[in-house]
Amino acid sequence: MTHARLAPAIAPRAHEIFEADRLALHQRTDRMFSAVMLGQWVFGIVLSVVISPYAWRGATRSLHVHVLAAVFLGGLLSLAPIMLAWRQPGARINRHVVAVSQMLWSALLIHLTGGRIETHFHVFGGLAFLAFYRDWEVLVPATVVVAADHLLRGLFWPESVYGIEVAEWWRFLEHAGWVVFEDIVLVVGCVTATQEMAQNAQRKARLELLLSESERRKEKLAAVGQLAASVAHELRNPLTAVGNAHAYLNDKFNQPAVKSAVNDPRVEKFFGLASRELENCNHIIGELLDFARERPPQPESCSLYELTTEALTLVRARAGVELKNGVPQALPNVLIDREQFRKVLINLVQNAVEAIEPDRPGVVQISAEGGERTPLRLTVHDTGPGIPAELLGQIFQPLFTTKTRGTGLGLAIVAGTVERHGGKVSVVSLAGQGTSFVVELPPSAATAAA
Amino acid sequence: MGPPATPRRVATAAWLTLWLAGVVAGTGLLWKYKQTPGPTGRAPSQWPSDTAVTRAARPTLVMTLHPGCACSVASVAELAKLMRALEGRVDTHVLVVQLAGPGVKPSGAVEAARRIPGVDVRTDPGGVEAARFGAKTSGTVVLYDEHGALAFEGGLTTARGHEGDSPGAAQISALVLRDTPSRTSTVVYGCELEDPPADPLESP
Repeated sequence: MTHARLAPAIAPRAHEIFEADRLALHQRTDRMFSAVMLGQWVFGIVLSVVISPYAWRGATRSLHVHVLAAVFLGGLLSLAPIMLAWRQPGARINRHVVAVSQMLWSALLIHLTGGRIETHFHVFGGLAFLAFYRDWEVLVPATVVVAADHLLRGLFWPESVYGIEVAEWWRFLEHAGWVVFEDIVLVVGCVTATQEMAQNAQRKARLELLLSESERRKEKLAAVGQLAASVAHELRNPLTAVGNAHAYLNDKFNQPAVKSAVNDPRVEKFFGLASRELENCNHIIGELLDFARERPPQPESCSLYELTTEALTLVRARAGVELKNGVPQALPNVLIDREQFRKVLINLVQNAVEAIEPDRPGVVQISAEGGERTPLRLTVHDTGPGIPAELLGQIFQPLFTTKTRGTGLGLAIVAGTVERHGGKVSVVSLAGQGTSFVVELPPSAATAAA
Repeated sequence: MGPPATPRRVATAAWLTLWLAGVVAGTGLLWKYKQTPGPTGRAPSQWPSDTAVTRAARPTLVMTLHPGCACSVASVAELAKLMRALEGRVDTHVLVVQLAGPGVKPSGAVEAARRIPGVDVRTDPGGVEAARFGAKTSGTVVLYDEHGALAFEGGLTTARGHEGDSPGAAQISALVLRDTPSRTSTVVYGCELEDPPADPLESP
């Protein structure tokens, strides 16, 4: 399936995956904030007990309001987010409550530490933590809480926030402005992260679809393989018998006395035809068994130049089609199963020869590059008319063929062999410009044993 | 139209509303406490003649501390900043009230005061000197000019235990650095220096 056709097919599943991933993220962040809230509560209590445990009236002491605030107000601020995360993790309301709580915790900690400038950093750190939700909307209630706190204190108690008795009405905007500045950066971060999540979801959906197609293809291949093996085995014995009978009769016919007695030129012609078709049947059985067996490769160090030369001598040549071995002789040896790869080359070259129109001359060129530490690329190029684009996705599938004769297993066998070597085979074809089959082997195969 | 109001949603909305109300109320109570100053004393308009604290012919600042008052840690922090701003033009004394009764766990304000360069820290047994300067709340600051006239009385923080710029520190700086003649005062946020009154039902 092409990329363009994949998009509508995966959209619903991609959306499902995105929503699931987002819910999981929100649940994880809710749990994280539960731990943060609990930590803040404990910290606040310890802080108040260490810094301001008592209030005094002369020699008479009482529990300081800070300790009560840390225990009760701090507890209230922390318990709501913890309860929500426990009862309905990932719910939208949770993160808004967390946002409000977190900013109010900043205010409480500032009170408990006596208004220290350093504690104000908790506000900006808290906003950054909220961005873990990757939901820019949670920054809104957080910012509103900070702005409202400064607005109200600016109106009713300006000394507590600005240090002066009368402050300009807009002063709270200066403080809130720094929060908005951080918000802008965090919003961009949240939106970008969400877009990346959506893209990841699409990739996952695409992969799921391709994997299921691959599974279906594997099942089909397995079924075809079993059928092929079964048919091949069943046919081999009768064909062997027919072949033996043909050989005997051919020998008898070629005796001079019999030949002159029969005196019919068609008999010899039919003997030739039978011989060729028997060879064809054996070839088909051979392909079926090759396809079915999937024998693991037994790698050995091979010269690709020599293997190509050998394969070219075994290809059924055609008049007007030139076969060129462009594999460099100096190309480093490769670690491959010699027998299997010779069949790969024969299949690819034979296909290339047959692709060129019968009434036109053409060239089939084999070239190679890479090796040692880089992937090896072997290309078989023909100057035929090219393969139509709509067929390119199917040509490696078993039993697919555009020829009137043949099993349609040749390229499936090539693909299987190359994949068992850890490589891949691909095809590039443009109408009127010929076709190139490219076999790519990983560096581990491209590096021969010493 | 939004999602249906299921009983669960209604319950969640209800307890979140209660929660918010509780948070607002708690925050309001904390604010109220923070904004409630200690009792206001009345410093003598002239340098007390019976005090053991010596005064040179320069502006003199006296701060009174309750040794256990946590809020005064902020007052002392502001005193340190003020001392840097005043560039040594003021003689500064810190009186640490020594109380009878079980030992008071020191809040750290006293140690912080000892670390301020040029500040004289002395104990005040029974709070006698503090009473001479009219201090009723820990963190009370009085400033007398070079002639011994009271120029400022009040505090250096804007809320209980709250560091940061304050009208008190600004007024003292103006008085010392720009020699503005007017007398000013602010409230003081801190612990009371005196014990609470005895139960009136038990008094003879």
